[in-house]
Amino acid sequence: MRPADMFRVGAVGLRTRPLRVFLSALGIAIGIAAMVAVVGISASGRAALDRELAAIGTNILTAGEGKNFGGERVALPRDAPDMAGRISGVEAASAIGRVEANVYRTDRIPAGETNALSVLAARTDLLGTLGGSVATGVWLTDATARGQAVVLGARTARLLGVHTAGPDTRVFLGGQWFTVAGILAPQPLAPELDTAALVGWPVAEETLGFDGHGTTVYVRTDPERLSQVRALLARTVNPAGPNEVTVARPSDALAARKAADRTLTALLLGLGGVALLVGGVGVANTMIISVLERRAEIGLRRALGATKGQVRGQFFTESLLLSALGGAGGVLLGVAVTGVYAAGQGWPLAVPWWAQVGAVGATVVIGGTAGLYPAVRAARLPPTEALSA
Amino acid sequence: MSAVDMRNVSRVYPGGVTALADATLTVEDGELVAVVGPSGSGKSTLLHLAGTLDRPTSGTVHVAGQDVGRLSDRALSQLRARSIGFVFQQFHLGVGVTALDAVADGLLYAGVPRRRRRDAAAEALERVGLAHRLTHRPHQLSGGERQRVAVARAIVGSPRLLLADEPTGNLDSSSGADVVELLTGLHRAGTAVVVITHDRDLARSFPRVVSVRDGRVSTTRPDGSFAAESALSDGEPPSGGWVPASPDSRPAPDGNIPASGHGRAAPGGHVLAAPEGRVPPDGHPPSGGRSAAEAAR
Repeated sequence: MRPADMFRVGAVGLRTRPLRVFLSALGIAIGIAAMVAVVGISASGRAALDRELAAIGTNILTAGEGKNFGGERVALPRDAPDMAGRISGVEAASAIGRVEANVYRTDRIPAGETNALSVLAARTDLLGTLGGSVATGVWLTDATARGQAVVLGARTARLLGVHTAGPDTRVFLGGQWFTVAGILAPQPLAPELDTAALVGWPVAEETLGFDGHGTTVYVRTDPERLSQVRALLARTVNPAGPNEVTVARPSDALAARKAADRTLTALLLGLGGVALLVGGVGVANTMIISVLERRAEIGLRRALGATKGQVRGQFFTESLLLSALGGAGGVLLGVAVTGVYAAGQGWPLAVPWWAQVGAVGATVVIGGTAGLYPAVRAARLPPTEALSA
Repeated sequence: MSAVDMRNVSRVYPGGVTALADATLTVEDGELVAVVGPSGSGKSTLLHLAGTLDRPTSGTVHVAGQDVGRLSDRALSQLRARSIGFVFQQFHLGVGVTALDAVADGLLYAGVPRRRRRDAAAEALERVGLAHRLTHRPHQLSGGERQRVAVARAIVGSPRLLLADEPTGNLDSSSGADVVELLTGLHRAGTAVVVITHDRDLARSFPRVVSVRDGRVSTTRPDGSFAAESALSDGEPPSGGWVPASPDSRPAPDGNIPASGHGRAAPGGHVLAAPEGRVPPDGHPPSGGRSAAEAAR
């Protein structure tokens, strides 16, 4: 018997029972769709991250104050940012410094309700170094850095209920009123800025008791020479105690956070696998019922000259087709779900090819396994018994 | 040569039910045979054994010259695909499958390519007078038409042996007559045709009638013209679901035999054979001497 004939005979059983085929294929489709969607959403998230990193750059390094053997914080030298800026391969350098003050919406807010927001002194070249931008208003200039002006991080502004920047908007910071000059866009490479209120370096030193020692130095490097800069950074910013400096690459942290999502992805994949298994049981069930109902057809085919192997092949093919149908539907459904989710998140749509191939492969395995027993049963049915049914 | 040669065949089902006991029967090529008997008498078993759908518990069955007991499943299937056609009471047409496809399936397992299957199917449907129904599905066909589709499926491969199990059982008399006419036409064309029937009038119109009762092939009437009573009371006394011709069951004098135009009913229940067409092409008389000997047993 030719494969084309086998295919045709296997398809006849499906064509004449559309509703049942739809329902049992749906079981498979849900399982496949769940798995494809999980993989697709995770891949789309990674694609979005890659795109984001490509946009903001992965060539930012930070050198933060570390701890000495006694566990005490060791501040960076005052000239750390300038020293870092002189390393060959550094394109820009800047710094922030922690200010012992809190920021409130008004002077009526109880002192304890700090919202866990920090106040940071920022150099005016900070935003340029990070490649960040303000969502509204303006960044600190040399002039405003000396005055009572503040730029709020994205989350700070939301927590304080500040939506617009301008001369009329003021917050109560360190016991003084500061005018909100601008609000930052979220800074993925420097998330500490999102929960901070940034004031100028001079004003912090003059009125807020800031000691002038930076707590974190940011450097933007030539991407080609990142590793050389990284090797030199610690002993440059603090020659006296290079071990007491924490050097990091923020984009690594971002990537690591995404990697942590993989555990969740694996869990969801497992759930999808369970759904697929249930779908496979559904196909097996459908096929067994089909064999029971179609005894007369089996008998007739035997009378027409079908061998046991051909009857077996017919039901096996039917089972494979049934689950392949479900698999194809599931891939489409999974891609659609991924598409909707990715569109909602503003991510690019990415479903890896191996997920789609794997879905089809899993489908073939499931269909084959589910169809094996019913097919063998159909083939074993004695023709006379089948005809008398 | 014989299309079917069964010698001392028994079939005992698990549980000890003897469906057929020591049956010997030969059907020559081109012969037209009716098999009669009450329900449960073993005639379906006889037909299944002759059609190689079942194997005997003891004894030998030769179909188209091959010993069924010695064939593998594959060889047996090929024998069924190429040499045997089946027609069933319930038609066995797939739901939603067109007449053309159903008939083409008759050649599916003989390894015929699809195009040739469909050509042959169209031709077979024309032969049964359904050339205008090629794309109709079973629910669009009358009972008689469905059975003619089934006959077309059975004959599309030009089998040497056609086995029909109550082919007219679900049909009204005029549709049944059409089907019987088709079967006798096949017989005239040289196919051995074995028909199981409950219809005494129909059986009477056949040149040879084999009677099965309690698993025994008990009566064989080898000639075309016969005296019904004597032949049928030849073996065991009639009982069960099959009653030999009694006056009220005799064919009406006007000759309304379902085998339209083939046998002729004569007053008194006698069916006169029409000699022409009863002799197969190979020149043998429809029933050989062996069968006559069976009858005498």
